[in-house]
Amino acid sequence: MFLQLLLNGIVLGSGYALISIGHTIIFGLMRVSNFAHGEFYMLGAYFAFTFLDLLGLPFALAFFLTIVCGIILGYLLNRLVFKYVRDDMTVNGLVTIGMSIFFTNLAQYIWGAQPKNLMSPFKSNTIFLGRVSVTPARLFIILASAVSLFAFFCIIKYTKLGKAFRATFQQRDAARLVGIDSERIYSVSTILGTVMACIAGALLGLAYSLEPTMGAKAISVSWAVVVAGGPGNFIGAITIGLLMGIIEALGGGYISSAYKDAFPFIILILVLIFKPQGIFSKGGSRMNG
Amino acid sequence: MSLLEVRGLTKIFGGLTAVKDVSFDVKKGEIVSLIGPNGAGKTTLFSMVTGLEKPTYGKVTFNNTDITGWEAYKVANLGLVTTFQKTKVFSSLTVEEAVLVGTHSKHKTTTLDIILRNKKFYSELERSKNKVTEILEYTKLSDKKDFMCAELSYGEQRVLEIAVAMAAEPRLLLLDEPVAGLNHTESKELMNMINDLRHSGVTILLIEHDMDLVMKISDRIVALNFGENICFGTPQEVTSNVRVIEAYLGSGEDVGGSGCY
Amino acid sequence: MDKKNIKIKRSSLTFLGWTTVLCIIPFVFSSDYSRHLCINALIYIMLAQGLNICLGYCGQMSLGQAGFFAIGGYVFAILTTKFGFFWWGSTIIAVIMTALVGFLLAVIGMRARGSAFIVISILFARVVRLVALNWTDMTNGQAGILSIPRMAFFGNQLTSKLSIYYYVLIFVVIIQFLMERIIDSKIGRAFVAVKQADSLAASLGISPYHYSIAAFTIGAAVSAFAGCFHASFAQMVSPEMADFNNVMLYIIMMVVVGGRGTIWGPVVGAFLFTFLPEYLRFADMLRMPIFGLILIFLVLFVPDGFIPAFTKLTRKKK
Repeated sequence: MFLQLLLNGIVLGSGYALISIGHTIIFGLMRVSNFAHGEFYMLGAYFAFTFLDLLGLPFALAFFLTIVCGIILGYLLNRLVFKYVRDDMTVNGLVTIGMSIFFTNLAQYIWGAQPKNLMSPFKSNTIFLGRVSVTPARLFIILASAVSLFAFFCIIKYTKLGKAFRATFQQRDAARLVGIDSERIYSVSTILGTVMACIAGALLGLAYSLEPTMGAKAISVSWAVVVAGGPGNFIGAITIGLLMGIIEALGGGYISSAYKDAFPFIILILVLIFKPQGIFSKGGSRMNG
Repeated sequence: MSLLEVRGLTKIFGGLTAVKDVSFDVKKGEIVSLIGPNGAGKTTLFSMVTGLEKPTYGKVTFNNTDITGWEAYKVANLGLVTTFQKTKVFSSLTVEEAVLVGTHSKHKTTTLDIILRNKKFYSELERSKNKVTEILEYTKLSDKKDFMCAELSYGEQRVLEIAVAMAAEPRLLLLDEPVAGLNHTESKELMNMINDLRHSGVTILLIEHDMDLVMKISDRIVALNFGENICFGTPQEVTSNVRVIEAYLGSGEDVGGSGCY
Repeated sequence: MDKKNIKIKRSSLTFLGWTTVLCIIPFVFSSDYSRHLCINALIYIMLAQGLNICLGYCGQMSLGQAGFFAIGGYVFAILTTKFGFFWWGSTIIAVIMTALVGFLLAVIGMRARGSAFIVISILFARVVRLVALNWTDMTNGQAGILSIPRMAFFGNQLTSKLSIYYYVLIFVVIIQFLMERIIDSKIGRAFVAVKQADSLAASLGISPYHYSIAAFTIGAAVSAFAGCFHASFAQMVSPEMADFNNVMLYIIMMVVVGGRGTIWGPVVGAFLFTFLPEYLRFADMLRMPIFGLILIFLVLFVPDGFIPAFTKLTRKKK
């Protein structure tokens, strides 16, 4: 049973990692307390639903279009909202809370409140790896997440854009002085962050059902990951994200299924007691805006 | 009598040693200036004294109390107040309100007094308000007292910072580049104010780049370079010290070394 | 000296003015249902002020007020129904217990940083809800605890809406009074200083850590107090008390729209957001998205809320 739960945890954790990495970029770079990030995850799932189920498009195309929607969404968000509220965390927190409510209800209005399922292109036969059963869909989730994260790192590390991004990340004012166009970097970051969340939604939608309120759970875990891992810390986001998924699965299986939502909280509290700066951060800067 | 004693203060950030084994002292009633090229570790040294940063090694003693590693607010409550290199003001308060905040540590009321609004509350409030008026007059900010802090000019804000710090009735005042960005007249005025402060019993430790001002106002000078204390003494001693000249004043003259720590 | 007297007189007059308005309200909205809403509004004033102290004055955003509301209500409910404990004793214990939880949470959370703290507060409220739903032995789960005793004034059970309103109003006024005294004092100024420039405040002897914890704990205590009144008035508690959309969101709106950092802003906000949803009943589906939009636009354009905007306007006219 342990391995089975572990696998489920990894599937879940991959999703959490994707969501959180997007969240941590937005928070770390632009200091936007994005409470609507869970809704980007939800919208990603519903975009996929629209293309896959409602329009009946082939899987690859639907997935690709979902990413495109994510890009558009991210761009609009930065241009219309984030641009004006960076850095002031109380203001942008309240604004994103408003956005979160708005999107949740918009989704409910457009797609209805009934839970939906993505029409999986994978056959639903279970594969047995030793004593562990897994569906192709879940394997795909893990694989696709890994690929997405890998792509993300490649972008950050090897492209010119990525270098500019890292420079802005470390020293905003200095980067601007060197001629880096911060606006563009912010735009790209928001887009990257949003797309990551949308991908997570589309992927996890293959294994779990969709509801307009699914963002609420996602945002709670995502926040816990961002804080525990350290804001802007990518390695932290991925590691803690995976960890949260695994602990939720194991805790749900061994300890209690009813309280499994509480585990992210408990972990976060534990991390904060022992290492208030977040597990991976190199110490010292206060998050207070 | 030494008001502030710094012994072997060291700060290491990861691989970088910002401050290395710095020792000096500040006697009651004097003005000591901290000089050194950019990056010499002056502000880091300040942060270790004021509590913003914890020293990696070393000891700080203030008024015979070991304050090494103490939090900033605790240090302030003992009478060690600082201003910052980058101007910091309470943006949405009026000038008068901001200076009133400064009186916090000397304002002696308990929560019970506050709720009951008894005689003690009102007398302490009056005392603080009088202090505020006094300080505003002294710093020539009285006619700006209802302005928002953010509305003041840069020069006025620098003066305001000192006004707020004075409200805390410090024994030792740390000033990090108080005249940075001020024009010649404003600098002179501010420096005169600082000099006067010394006469009213406040000991001062300041970081400054303008050597003219430093020479005129300081009783003693600490010269830092690459985080190390290369000389500590009177202005004459420091300016004729070989290492200081090499590092900071940039002259190639051959002068003998002289009495320095 | 004269200026001080004028200032005192003006603030006392304002206080009396608002109190009078609050006394008259149940006669303006005189139907039984409206009075019911008025009592809810009073309870929400307490909740809003709890958030106001944290957010409006100390600058510490907290999304966990609903959690304390629920804990206070549940402890009160359990003590009065399961143990038959008397009303005021249960309230005091509920408030103290909740304040302790709030205090612990703050001690752990504030050591990290301000933002970590918001996250802790949200997760906290979620956990409270989870516990309320699942610890069925104590809490009855989804159904909640029922038949909680109503309030009594010197032994006489209060039954009419009007009498309950005035009873709760007494405590609201006391809270307002205490708030006014604390805000206009060294403590209040310290809160504001921490909010605006915490490192500057620290350099003047104000510990941001301790003051933030204090603000949060007070907020928790006041929310718990509100929870007791709610439990007693509605005569039931349920896990929905900790729900974000049902409770916390309204509290946020009340503080943000009414005016954070003011004493009477949340009062206006509380009444506004208790009555507004009723008038928007016809557009029930749209209610939430409208709230979302209101929140966004207000935060962007009237960032301090209505009361401060109004004050600024009247000040300019002079």
